[in-house]
Amino acid sequence: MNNFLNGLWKENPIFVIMIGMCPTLAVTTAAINGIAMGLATTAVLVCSNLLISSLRNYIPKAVRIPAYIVVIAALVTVVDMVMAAYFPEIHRVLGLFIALIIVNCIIMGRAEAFAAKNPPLPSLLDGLGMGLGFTWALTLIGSVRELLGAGSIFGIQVLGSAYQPVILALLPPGAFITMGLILATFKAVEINQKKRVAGGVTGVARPVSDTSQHSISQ
Amino acid sequence: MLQGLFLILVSTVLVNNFVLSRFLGICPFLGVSQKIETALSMGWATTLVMTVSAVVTWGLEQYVLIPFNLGFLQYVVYILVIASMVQTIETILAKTSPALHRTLGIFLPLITTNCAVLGLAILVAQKGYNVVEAATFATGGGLGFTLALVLLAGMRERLEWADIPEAFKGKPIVLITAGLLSMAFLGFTGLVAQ
Amino acid sequence: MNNTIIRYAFVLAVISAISGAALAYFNGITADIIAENRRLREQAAVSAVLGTETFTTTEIEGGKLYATDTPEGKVVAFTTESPGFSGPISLMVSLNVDQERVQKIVVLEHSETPGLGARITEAAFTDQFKAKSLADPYRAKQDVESITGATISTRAVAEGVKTAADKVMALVKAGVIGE
Repeated sequence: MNNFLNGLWKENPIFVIMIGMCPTLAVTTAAINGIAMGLATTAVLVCSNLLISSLRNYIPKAVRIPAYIVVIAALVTVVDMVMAAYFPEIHRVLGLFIALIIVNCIIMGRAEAFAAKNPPLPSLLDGLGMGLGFTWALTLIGSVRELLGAGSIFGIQVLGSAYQPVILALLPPGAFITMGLILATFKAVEINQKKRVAGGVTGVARPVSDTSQHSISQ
Repeated sequence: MLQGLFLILVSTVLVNNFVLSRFLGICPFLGVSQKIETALSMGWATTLVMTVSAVVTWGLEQYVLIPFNLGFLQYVVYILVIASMVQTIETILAKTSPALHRTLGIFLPLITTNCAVLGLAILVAQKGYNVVEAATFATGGGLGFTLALVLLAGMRERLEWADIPEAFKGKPIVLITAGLLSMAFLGFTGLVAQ
Repeated sequence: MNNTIIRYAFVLAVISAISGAALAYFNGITADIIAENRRLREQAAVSAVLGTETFTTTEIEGGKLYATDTPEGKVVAFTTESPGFSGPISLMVSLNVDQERVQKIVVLEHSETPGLGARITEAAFTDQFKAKSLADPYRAKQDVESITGATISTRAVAEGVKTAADKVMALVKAGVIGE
């Protein structure tokens, strides 16, 4: 169970590990795009983790990277074909980024870090957790950008016509800035919680003075 | 002809910058841009891989995939080519120029998963470029990537000395800076009639 | 040592072969559906500008020409691409060759700025081209009302339509197409 929950929050690929950024920024112009991309990636991630884990004892260490690459590329091609055939509109919107799931570091990363060393069921759960963690992150970012840039969420107009949309949110700069602000918000919440915990332990409200212990420079 | 190539170059480096407009190559963009030197090394290495792979994948597409109706193998073939190119370039560099190999060394394997390289190969196929246009497009893409990386690295080196609010330290401020850089590049839109 | 290389090659070959076979299988299932989807989209776009589902298709240099006869005259439809602000704008245009008027236009694909250039898809904009005479200048801010803040996109559409329509008219007059 832990394997599954890990990817959702504690080791969320987007907000914590910060891999798989390209599709995150490119595709999140609308909440629905975020979900679609997230689910497509989850499908590939679950299958690839499962396959690679099942084959882990048969693939010699030296050729594991090319082997993983072939498996992942084939899976993505299948997902791409299926989407083009049965979900053509979404396929057109996501475009190039469906193919780029192949080089989404999350997939290769989990294959190397987890599936190669663990049995199939935990690997499947890990893939599912990471994939869904990726999905909700993308949906959140997509919702924020769509709300700011078009006044709607999932196509439903939320903000009235008096709202002047911040078109920049839908353009490339908006992606970077929204992402940065969301991360900063999470961090601010985290810092706040730490301060409250620290204050509670001594029973005295600590003044906001020395913040050097919270240095999180990367 | 030359003018067409020049336009492709300008358009790819400035107008439709691979990183700041197309969102390709974000992982190294955020991960390898702490210092200008490393950014430059990564940039050169990536440009080299991009140009070589673009030409090779173009060749395979024209002479193998299309004639034999193997279009559905495109992604698998492309990524294998890229992985092999990276490996080959690394081996060649190790033999011919150990110093260069040492500088670029750690970055080369990372380039395989750089979405800019695979994205570029697929874009070339989509746009139907000929081999010279493909090579120009690839070089432009790489140069644009390098430019974005170096610019961000320059700003990050300055940011080291700035007084940044706690919540923004680390990745958040880098992202916002990247956003401002992307905004600046927005000014190039419309420079070249697409 | 040799044995290990053979083992490596074997494993990779097996994985590649199985992957290739799986891909070929899925390709077989989906290729037709994908082609059909494309055909349906094209049909829908053509019907939208011609106003009818029955039309003939002819190949001309640079694409296809769709033709139908209406009480107002012979109408042809064709696609054209025009360089826009952030990328090529692809349009479907229908032309009444007897009256020498553009009948209707539909924007197929574009990468213009949302909220600004992207508004070329709005009916308020494209309706300007309904029954528009080819004798008009097709200039933004003159006979074509420009979208505020999106002059380049407006111009791209207007000029794109005019250039393509003139070309097709010339082909029709030269007897290259149609009866």
